[in-house]
Amino acid sequence: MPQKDHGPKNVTDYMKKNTNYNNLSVSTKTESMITGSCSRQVFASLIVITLFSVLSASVVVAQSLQKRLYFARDKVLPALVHIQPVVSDYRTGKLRKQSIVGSGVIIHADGYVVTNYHVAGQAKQILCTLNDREQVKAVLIGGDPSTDLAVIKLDLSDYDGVLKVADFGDSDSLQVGQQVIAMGSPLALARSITFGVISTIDRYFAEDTRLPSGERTGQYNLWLQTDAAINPGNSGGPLVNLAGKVVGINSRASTFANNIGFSIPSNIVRAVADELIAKGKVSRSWIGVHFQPLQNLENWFGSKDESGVLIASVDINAPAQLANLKAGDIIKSIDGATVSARFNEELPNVYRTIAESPIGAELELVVKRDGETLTVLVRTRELGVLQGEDLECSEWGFAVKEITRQMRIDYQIQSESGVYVTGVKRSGPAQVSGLRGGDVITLVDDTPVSDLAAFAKLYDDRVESKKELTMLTFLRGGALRFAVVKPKKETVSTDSDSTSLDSTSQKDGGGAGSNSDSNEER
Amino acid sequence: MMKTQDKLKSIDSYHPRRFGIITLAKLTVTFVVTCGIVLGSAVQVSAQRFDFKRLREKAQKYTVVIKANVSISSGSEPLDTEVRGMGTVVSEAGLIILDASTIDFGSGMASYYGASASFDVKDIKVTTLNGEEFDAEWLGIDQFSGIGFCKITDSIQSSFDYVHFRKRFDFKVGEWTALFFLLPDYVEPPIGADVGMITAIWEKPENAPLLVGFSDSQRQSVIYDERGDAVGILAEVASPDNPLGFSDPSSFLSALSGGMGGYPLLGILTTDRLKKLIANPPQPGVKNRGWLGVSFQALSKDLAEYWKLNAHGGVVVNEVVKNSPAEKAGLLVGDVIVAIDDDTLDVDREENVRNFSRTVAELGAGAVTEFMALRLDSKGEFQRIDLVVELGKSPITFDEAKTYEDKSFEFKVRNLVFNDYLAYNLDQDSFSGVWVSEVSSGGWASLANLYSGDIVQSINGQELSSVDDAEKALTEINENHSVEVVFLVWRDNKTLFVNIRPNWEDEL
Repeated sequence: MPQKDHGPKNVTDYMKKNTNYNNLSVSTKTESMITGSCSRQVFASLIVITLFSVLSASVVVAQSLQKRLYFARDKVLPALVHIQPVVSDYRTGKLRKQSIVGSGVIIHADGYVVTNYHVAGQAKQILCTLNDREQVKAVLIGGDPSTDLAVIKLDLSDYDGVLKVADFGDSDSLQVGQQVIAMGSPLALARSITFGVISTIDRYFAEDTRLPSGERTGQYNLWLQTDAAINPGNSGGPLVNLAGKVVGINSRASTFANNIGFSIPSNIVRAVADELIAKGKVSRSWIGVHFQPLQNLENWFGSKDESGVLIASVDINAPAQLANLKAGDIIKSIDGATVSARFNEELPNVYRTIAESPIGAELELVVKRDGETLTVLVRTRELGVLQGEDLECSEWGFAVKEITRQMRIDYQIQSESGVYVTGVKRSGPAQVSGLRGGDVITLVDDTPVSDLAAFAKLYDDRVESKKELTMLTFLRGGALRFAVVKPKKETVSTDSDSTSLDSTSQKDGGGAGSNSDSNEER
Repeated sequence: MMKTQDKLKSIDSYHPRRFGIITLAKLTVTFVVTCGIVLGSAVQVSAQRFDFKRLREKAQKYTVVIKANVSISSGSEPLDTEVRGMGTVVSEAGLIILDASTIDFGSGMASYYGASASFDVKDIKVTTLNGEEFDAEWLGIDQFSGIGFCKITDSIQSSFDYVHFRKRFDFKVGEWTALFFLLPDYVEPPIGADVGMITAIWEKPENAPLLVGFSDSQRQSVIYDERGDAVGILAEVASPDNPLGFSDPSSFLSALSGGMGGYPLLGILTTDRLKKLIANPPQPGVKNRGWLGVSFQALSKDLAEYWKLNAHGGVVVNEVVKNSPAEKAGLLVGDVIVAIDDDTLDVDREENVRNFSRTVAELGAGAVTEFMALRLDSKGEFQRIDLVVELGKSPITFDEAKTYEDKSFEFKVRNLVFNDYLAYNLDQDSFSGVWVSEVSSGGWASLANLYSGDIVQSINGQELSSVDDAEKALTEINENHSVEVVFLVWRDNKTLFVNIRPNWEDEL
């Protein structure tokens, strides 16, 4: 019997018990809402794509599968990008840089490339190898951990080649059994393609799935499942239909199985990428509820034909709690629009309905509670950043991060202010003083720490003045503890870039993979 | 163990100290032999010095072999197992101390089941080395020393031979000591002897002779000095922290399983400490250990330096538990306790911080105790405050909590205890539920995806604040053969519904 684990949530939970899916009427309503929010430019290109598809379809129908594969390959492979970001890890209490390998695809002539958040979403430096083997640098435009997507922009100033751009297809029109190609750098082997079919168009993953960097992900989308081989390094690469359109971004796979890979549907990708390019981030509304499908619970909560969305949990201090929503409430409609989730697969739609409503707006929920129908007003807040910015305090031997509202909920942090200790360096001054990862520093000497910026200033002042003793007051659980940090007298020149890009990166196409992803994320 | 086997030849070997009766020739031979051994192995030499036959004659009066049935419960079906260990009679009334890790004897059960395991010791049989057999009852474990206690319950005999410990504390580094320990039961007689050396006298926070040469599995054996006097028992002198200072077998079990990292530091638990323990052994169902209700850290040298305190040690209060003796006495977070009943606290590092909780525990529940503390005033200066605290009883632990077992759903729940609220940061005033302590695999609760460690907050809409509520709700469901049973469960910091449609037909 599995023992309960209250430790950090891991990401390998996603396969559990999501077996009961039915074919859903894939929510054209919400999907079109996303499309509706696209820029006019994309809308225009959508028409072009559609026209082109019709044309090409008539041409290729009579051709052999082999020829159609070549056709699709030639449309997208030139836009495939081998991505080597350098990511930062603060969990050991000091900045450790690491070079990883992922994939991406060029979606815009200006050099925008879409990839996974877990590939490039936190990268400080990015090196890209294009399909013609030329290397260019790229910068991060923005990342969205909730959908595990990121957009980077290639620096084309020194690039003489002709940039190839891939087109998006319509993921809503995909069919189970449809043939697809996956492209990317599995095990860092650049420019590889694999072939298979769409195994499922509406795979659901539990909303508490987490990225390696700790953010909750997958709440707002379903997944395409494919048997085209997806391996570590494929992350961020395109899933392509035989019309040569990008229909998904390959993101994860089951490592304990053969050929069970998952892609984010292109309609989600397109909407997120557009918002990232326009604003550098994706804004969502949030009310702090967790839903559960009604299937098997209708008898208890109402009749078999009960429709609505069951609230399973309400986050502490969230708008929903302030509005007095409770576990067991069934939401029948949001701002007049009926919502329903009998099956798991319908949940992302409902989360999206809330996420896409205006931030700060008052939502009118019709709620059924204990047989009575009531109207509840909830004012949404911005979901905000999931994980805060990091700061390395090398003189004191630890790293801290800004505490976001979502971290406060996830880690049960009760303090309204302070900074979160990400990690403590072994044998460093902080460890000697008794500080540990997970502590929340609330005071530096006698000064309250309101946020990361305030902490950074307090730290800098003390390093500059070579202060010998600094008192850190911190919360651990419900206890308020004290630590006196004594920086080492001789400042040893710290080599924080011990793992540099050069030492671990794979040259384009060479050798075994160095992807540091977890066994789930690819 | 192998090392000890090699040394077995020393047992009962008779080496007279009465040199007078030894001829010169023999003395010469002995001298040569001894020199050879000195060069070969220091341990052998020291072993020769002990008169094991005489020691054993003494020991067999009060050394006993203990057999018991232990039931270990850790979330699924309880595991029943027979255990065996060695103990020592320490009082005329038949009080026996034993190595509490005996219950974990040889199988690593504690490490396998983890900290949430609880155990029940039954059917204790005590056999003296003379072959006399008695029944005994289990009393409990002293968490600080790891000593288990049981007591002979004999209808005829009421007075027993017991060990007398040397009172004076004059241990020296380099001094040799010996003990008897239990061998596997196929060895007859199953008693081995071993020697070890005092390697250091640990002075702070209190004098403790540290030993090398003995193994963890020999704990709670009586230690003899070279004169043949019993001087204390082998115990772990540095052990894991338990900052809130109340007895919790879970921390104890995880300590046994090495969960706190590294090997325990073994030493002699000397007469002064033993006397307190023997005078006030744990009693089943009785809370007699003192409890203050604070969590705390050591006043390290750096903290003292920062605060410009002249204290040699103390504990800094980190948390004051609601409605605890500490709160009633007015202790505040940030107070530095520097003395208890005029004894200064020498705690200046985290490794010693348990000394404080042990002192409080050994004072006993109800003890009226003076605490001297230092408190920062508004000017940033520390002022001395004196507080009189009536120590309380520690809150009940998970294995003392009331349970309810449902036979149809095949699971067991228990009341939430103080430590649950603390460990999961739950608000005692607003949060209620019952803890799922056992789920039988294949049972309805298991099919409903209930897991041990879940907290059930309601069943079919009936909110639960205790196992009595759970019993009421489930009894109703059992009687009505409810078609659908819905549990609201708190898991991973969130709630969710789990449900089952019981197949009542199948049950009949």
